[in-house]
Amino acid sequence: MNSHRRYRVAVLSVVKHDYVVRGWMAHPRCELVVVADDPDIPEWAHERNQLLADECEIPYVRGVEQALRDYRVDIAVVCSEAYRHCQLSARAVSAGVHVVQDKPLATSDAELQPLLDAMQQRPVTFMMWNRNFLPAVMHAQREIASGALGELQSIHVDFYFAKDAGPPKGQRPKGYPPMNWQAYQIAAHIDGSDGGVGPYPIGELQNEGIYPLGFIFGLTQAAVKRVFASSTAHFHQVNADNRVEDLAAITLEMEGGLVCSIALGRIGVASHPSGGEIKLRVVGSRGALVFHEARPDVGVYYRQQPAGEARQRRVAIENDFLLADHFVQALDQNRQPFMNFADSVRVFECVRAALESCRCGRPIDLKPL
Amino acid sequence: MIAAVGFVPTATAPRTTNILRKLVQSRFCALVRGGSRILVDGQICLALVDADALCQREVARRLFGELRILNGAQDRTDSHLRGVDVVAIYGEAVDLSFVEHCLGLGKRVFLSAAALQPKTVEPWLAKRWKTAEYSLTIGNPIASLPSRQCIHQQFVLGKLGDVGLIRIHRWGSDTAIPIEGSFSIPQSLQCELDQVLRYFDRSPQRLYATPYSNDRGFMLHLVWPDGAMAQIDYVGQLPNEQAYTSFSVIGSRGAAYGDDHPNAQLLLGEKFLARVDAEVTSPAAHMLLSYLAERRTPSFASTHSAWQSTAGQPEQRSTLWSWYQSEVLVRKARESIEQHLCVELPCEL
Repeated sequence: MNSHRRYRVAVLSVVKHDYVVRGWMAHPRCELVVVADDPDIPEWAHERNQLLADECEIPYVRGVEQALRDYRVDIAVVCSEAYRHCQLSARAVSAGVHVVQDKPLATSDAELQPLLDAMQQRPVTFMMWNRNFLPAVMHAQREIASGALGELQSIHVDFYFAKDAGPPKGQRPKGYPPMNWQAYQIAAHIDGSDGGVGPYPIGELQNEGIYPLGFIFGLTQAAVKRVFASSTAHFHQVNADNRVEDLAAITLEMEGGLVCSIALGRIGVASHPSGGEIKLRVVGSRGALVFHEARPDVGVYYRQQPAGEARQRRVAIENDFLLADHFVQALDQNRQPFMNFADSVRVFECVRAALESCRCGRPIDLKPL
Repeated sequence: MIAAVGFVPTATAPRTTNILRKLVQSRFCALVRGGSRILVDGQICLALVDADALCQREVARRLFGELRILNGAQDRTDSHLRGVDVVAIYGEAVDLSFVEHCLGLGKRVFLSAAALQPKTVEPWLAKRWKTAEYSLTIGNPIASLPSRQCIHQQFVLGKLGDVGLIRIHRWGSDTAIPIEGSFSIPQSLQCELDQVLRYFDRSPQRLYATPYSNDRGFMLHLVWPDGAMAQIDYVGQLPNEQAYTSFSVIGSRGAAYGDDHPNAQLLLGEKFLARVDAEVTSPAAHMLLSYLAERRTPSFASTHSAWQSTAGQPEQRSTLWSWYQSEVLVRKARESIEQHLCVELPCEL
């Protein structure tokens, strides 16, 4: 047990979600010591890295290996564009540094390979950011672990983000060029809906698939055997122009006869008054549960309330902190955290199979890497 | 209150305008949910065939006009049908020759889905759905529930845009899943399929069905050619005869969620219970009354055209079409389960 040890944390790129970093800023046993990135990234990315470094009053170093070495880093938090996740994580792993990475794990086999190799050679502790430490999700896990539902027979997750992604589909005037993915994502940083930032378009299966799959993997250890999926670009011009989905449905067949389903999408801000309908439904041999991810919440309504302001406000949310704490405890106790590297690879395999099923219209039997 | 709803008086409006129809539609659900009497033009004569006592009582309480209760073959004579505008047929197995006889007499026929046994009805439907579209209506008790009607009204009025995904969870609504040597699809699931088809107005391209362990239910995944999709999760039984349903429509302009979860009331006592009350006393009666109210016309003796423009949606497919397609989808779902394959469907089944 290293229960008094303080961990030195480096942020390797923070071009999108800074919430991945904020849990570490709040943890008493973690110290953010440096922000680092490669020198040859675009200037807008340097600016974002610098912003966080300034806020935390720590240096920004344009050189990843140098920062990991000079600042004696224990944990690297990777929050770059999706296509750079694995190469940054792999370099941290090779330096013997534990890794917490934003989602997705990777967007292709080729991207994943260096990290697979690095983890084989130097198995450090790895965790992918997830939403399993939200109060309702933890409550569901406790109920199921207590045996209240008996043997699980089906799990269903609705995961809709009530967010827009630029103009609605069908809004591009005739003769105008397709929307540029990267330019749109960079501009979307202001409201935090830039999860797909990077030069290569990624759809919602890759961008958000980790969350509902994380819920399922948090409730069962059963392996996924078969995946049937369908998807479409139904809402947003930027998705239609770049041929990536904003709405998808998945049926998963797991070992032991467990059947799971997921409906997910970025379905437009008009679709829900408070951020989106995110629900977990589980049926077991002895009972069933229906949980809303956004509970507990409070309702706040007043005159001249801005249209975009959530009417229901989530409360008692400590997901970012609890994830950091969970990782620290895993390091202390030398055990694997939830959504460790093996779990993350399972998610990657599922998403890859779902995308393949969408393309060919058939169920896909899962082939482990 | 009812007067304020503004149903069009017989003498002043022989044909409702589209705007008035929409007004009627949009307020209709509230009217039904409020438990108010459903006003149907006073000239109606309704024959209720083989309906249960609760259904008879509910229809009698709410109907303006003459109600004839017909039970058994001895009541199905021309003399009993004389002057009848609408024949509503319930029971467990419909006598198709009686249906044809009523249609031949020029009657409007309302056929409860529960009376349709797939093996006998499907070949008949295959022939009939193109020719008897608007004189024959299939009553779907689930589609007629106030919550489902409310969501459908929003869709019809264009508030939700094009449907991208319909997701349904139906747990514990049947006492058992009937098994006939191989997988058998319960009728409530077929009712859900029928309702889904009413949103899309065309057949899906692909279907994948997965059974749950211990024959407890199924997961159906349907895909349409333009990428739209539907997922139906069906569980036959829950412990202690509890039940739960959820129905959501995700459209390009908005979404609607009808879910027992936020509609549950808490009962705190020795046991902690969340209870959901049934939306209507008699779904069988409610679907018939809804059908009559939707087709409110100056006179039930009026021409076909008044009926063909039902609910202001002349372009919409008939319930006969959707029920027939749902029969086919049930067969395909069974095929998918038995072969453990995704089934490709022809453009028009």
